Amino acid sequence: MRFSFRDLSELGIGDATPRPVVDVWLGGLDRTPLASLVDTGALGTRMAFELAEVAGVDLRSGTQRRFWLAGHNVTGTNARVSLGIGTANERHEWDASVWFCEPWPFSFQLLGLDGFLRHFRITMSAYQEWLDCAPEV
Amino acid sequence: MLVPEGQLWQLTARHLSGAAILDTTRASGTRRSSSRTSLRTTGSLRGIVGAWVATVDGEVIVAADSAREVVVWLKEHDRVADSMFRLPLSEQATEGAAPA
Repeated sequence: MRFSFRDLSELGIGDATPRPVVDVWLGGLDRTPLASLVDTGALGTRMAFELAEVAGVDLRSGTQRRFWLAGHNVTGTNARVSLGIGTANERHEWDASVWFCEPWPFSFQLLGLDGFLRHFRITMSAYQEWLDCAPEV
Repeated sequence: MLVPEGQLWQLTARHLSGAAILDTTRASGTRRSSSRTSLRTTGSLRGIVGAWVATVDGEVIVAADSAREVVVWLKEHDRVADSMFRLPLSEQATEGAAPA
């Protein structure tokens, strides 16, 4: 599944370099996928805490931890959720560990090793501004 | 949740039409020719910095202060978006301080 890089300068915000962003479906949210940055240096997959509430993810028994994200000290609560990505012709879903964090001052959700990268073989061309995600078998 | 006027750096005021703005501000943008995924709005983004937005075919269709409001709007209008994200709060955010 191939995805084009994305930036927000098209919306008149800044002059950002296009980055590898994938739209990820979070189980319980059936109206929109979430623009998510592929971050090969991140250990885990992190999302905004408020998304868990909207999707109905139960965080009551989740492990809670504090960590730093891009200079922001956040509190994350872990949960197992269903994630999915797809194109017009293909779709793939998997069970993932996700940290739902607050505060969340970022534009995109973050796809790291645990929860995303371990599930795919990623090919990326920053020059041509695309990345390809092939599910691991 | 909206940032003060003084922090609305680099935003370009443009004309609004189309996007549903679920707060007291206005929204928008223009389209730039590019091979990458193109995003645009038809109004000004001034004042909705930090807002959650949903897009269809690269165009913002709704903006609100919370993700919940965006999702509720999509349900009420029986719409399915291509993507949802949050507009940056700062220049640092758009330039990509990559979280660890």
